[in-house]
Amino acid sequence: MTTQTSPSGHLLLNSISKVFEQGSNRVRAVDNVSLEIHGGEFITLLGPSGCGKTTTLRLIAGFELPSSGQLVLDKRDIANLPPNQRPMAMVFQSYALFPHLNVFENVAYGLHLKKMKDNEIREAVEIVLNMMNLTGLGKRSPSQLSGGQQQRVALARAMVMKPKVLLFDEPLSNLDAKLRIQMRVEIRRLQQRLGITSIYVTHDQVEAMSLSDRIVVMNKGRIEQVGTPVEIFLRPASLFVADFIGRANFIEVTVLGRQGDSCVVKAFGADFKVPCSPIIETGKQAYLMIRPEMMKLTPQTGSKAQIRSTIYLGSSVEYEVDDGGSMLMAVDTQPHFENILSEGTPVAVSFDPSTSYVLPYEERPSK
Amino acid sequence: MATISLKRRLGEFRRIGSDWTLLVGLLVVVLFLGVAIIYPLSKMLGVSFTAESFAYYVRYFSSPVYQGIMWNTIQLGLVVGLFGTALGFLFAYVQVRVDVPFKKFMNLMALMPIISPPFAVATAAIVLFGRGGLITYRLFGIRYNLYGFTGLTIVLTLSLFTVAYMNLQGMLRALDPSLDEAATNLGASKWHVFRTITLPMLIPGIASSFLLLFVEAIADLANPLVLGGDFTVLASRVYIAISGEYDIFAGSVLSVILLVPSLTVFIVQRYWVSRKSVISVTGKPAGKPTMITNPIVRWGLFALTMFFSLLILLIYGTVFVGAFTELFGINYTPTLRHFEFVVLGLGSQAMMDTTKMSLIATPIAGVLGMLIAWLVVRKHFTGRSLIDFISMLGIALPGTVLGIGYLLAFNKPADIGSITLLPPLAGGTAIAGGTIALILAYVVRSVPAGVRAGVASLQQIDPSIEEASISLGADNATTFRKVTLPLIRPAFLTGLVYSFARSMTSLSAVIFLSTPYAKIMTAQILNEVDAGRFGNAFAYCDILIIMVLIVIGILYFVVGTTTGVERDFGVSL
Repeated sequence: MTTQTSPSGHLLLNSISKVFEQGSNRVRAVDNVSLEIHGGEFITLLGPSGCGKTTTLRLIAGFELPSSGQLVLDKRDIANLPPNQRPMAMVFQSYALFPHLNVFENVAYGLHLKKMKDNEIREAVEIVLNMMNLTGLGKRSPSQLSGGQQQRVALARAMVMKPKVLLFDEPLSNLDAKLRIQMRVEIRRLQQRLGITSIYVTHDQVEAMSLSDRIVVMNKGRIEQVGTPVEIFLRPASLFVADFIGRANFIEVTVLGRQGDSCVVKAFGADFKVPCSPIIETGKQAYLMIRPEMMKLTPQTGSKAQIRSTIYLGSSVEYEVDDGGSMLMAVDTQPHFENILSEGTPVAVSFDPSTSYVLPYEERPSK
Repeated sequence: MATISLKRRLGEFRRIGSDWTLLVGLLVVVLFLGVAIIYPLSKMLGVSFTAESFAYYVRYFSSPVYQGIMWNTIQLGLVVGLFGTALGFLFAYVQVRVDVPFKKFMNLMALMPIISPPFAVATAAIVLFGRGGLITYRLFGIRYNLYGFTGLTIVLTLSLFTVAYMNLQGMLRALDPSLDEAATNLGASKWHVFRTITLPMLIPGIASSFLLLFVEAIADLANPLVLGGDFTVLASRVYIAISGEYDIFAGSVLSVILLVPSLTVFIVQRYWVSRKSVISVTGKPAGKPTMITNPIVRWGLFALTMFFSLLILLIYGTVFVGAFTELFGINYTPTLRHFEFVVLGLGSQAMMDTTKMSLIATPIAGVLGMLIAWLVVRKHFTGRSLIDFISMLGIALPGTVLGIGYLLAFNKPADIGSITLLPPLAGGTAIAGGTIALILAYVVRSVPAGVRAGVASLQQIDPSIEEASISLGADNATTFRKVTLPLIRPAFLTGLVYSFARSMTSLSAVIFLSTPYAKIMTAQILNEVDAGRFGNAFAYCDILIIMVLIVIGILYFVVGTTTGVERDFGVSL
């Protein structure tokens, strides 16, 4: 985590709710969300569409007003401040470049509004265009740029304002896969260099993992979990988080005992000591979460578990295993030519308990 | 629940209050709609729902003569709606789906009626196809009686089908050609594709064209006055009641009777039929549609469309040539006498007055149209759709209805107790010789076109472009000026062009409001046609058409269209 004491760009969301009314329909888009974002931190709001992440971002930007709750930036309540007076800049999914202005004018737009002198504007724009690898493109119209270049202009236009908070609304979702990865790296590098508090909305978990100091997983307007990428992946707070981030096998188990942070559970005919959610008690039902990458398959004649399908992906092999009626996913991330298991092979199933987790039991939503 | 809702309302007021552009914009629009539409309409309704007027309703609904007038009106609306939609569809289909020569010419002919003054088509039709008509009598020796239902149907169809043409052309272009390809791929023939894919997808468009034409046809005044003969419709009956019988009660009651079908059909079209559409007309061409290749169908459609195009050309050619001949149809001696009358003689005042008032009304209507469009599309406040609806009344109300409302509302001062809110705005004794009421009427009639163009244009502009401006520190007013307005400039231009053309050619809404100090050209044309001085009427029409074209040219030059933005957004005129 970065500089916690930094006074600039510290943002506090206190019990924020947003209710939309459509006729007699009331939709709680954001439901009692509280969150502290430290100065200079890169935080991602992650969740499926309709989870309230974009509304939360728009509440922070000021495009929506909260139905209740407080929004405090550097000890100042800004909940009712109009969006144009908030020291924030937003990067939009559609880039939202002004089509009637050229690249230079786009980037200079906000600086003109600050009543900066022309030569200062010129200098500031040149610097940020250089920084974004857009040197010499100032006179181009946005429609003459590639998608990646347009995205960088949008970023430059926001960065040049030196905002206290940068807001990103799925900015990479219109780019192709390769460019997306490249821009991801670039955004992270710039943010680290400038130390601007950044709030990033995405539904792409890989993007969230690679960019963020912390991830906020949202579902149905509520926060499911806040944590570092490692915490979110390896210590998910709920079935939803575990299921949304990466893939996982969930095995219903009974907790046989607790030892500190771990629980003893029985799986695949053996007892394992597995890291365990703090709210789990002995004797209760629970889910054992095993990531497919942590599964171990060993060929064993006579075993009741069998390989159902083998999908070779080059850098990994994905297996579907029929374990006496229940289906398990397994991924071999270091496949060798000779150890790829063919369909029908009987296997012994095991896993790495230290990278697995025991979750509280809940009704599984039908898929 | 109640407290939350109250809090929300308070929050809304606070937000509107803190956003001064929204506040000022709303105030301007509400004031305009209140004074220019609601107030006159309520005055007219007030007069038509008194004890005195009740007797009129009884008389009209029990008299066979008036029952006949009502039936005539509906009949005319239905038949013109039907033929106009068919003709519009023919032109649109040929334009989009048939590969034939002279398509630009056909398109131009189909668009002519937009800038055409009322009476132009009717008068030309009389001298071409009437009792002593060039074609009917001189060529074929037939003494044909054009006056009445048939003549009205032909002339109204040719004058109004443009609406259907533009509407259906937009839809045909927006039809995704891959649907046709998919159907063909599944084994359907071209005719089968047309019957099972193209036509069903267009049905909402066809229905809405029909309804729009119905509304326009029953509201039309100019043609029934000139060509009606014994065939009276409600609009012409209202005119006679006011201008001939000076009976304001009769006029108001007949207006309400005309208002009911107009408004009902308008509401059905706008809030029901147009929502059924499965095609969204974005202005972006969806790809290259499959063309008709069967030579019989292709050249058959070509011949039919060409026939009507040439008919329109003949009509406007007559309007043009007729102004330069002594008496078209009888004496073809070339003369400039008629132009002398219009430009230099007695007729010139009307020309000057109408042009001045239209030039004042045009920018007001243009800006108001964009403002209303912006409020309706981008701002969220209670009563937003009501504002949209009321602004559309300017065109949904038959002109005569609006005209009577203006007479009643603006001939006397508007008082509350002893306080005068508004001085008289209409009539020769009003301030500025009654021009204010006329300009207001022009604006009201013109605003809807601007609003629709603005709404269509704004809906294509990603709202995050405006949000980006706000996020960078611009307030609403700056954003509107520096971002929104440049982006909707083509729509703004469309609004201005329509406003000017509409104002110059407007008749029914303003005919009662013309004063000795504020003469309107269209009313003068009516006088000339009535007196049989067709040459003068044609000269007026020519001058009107030329002036509208000149102003359109100037507007294109001043406002400009080649910003590159139109291409990006697929907005075009």
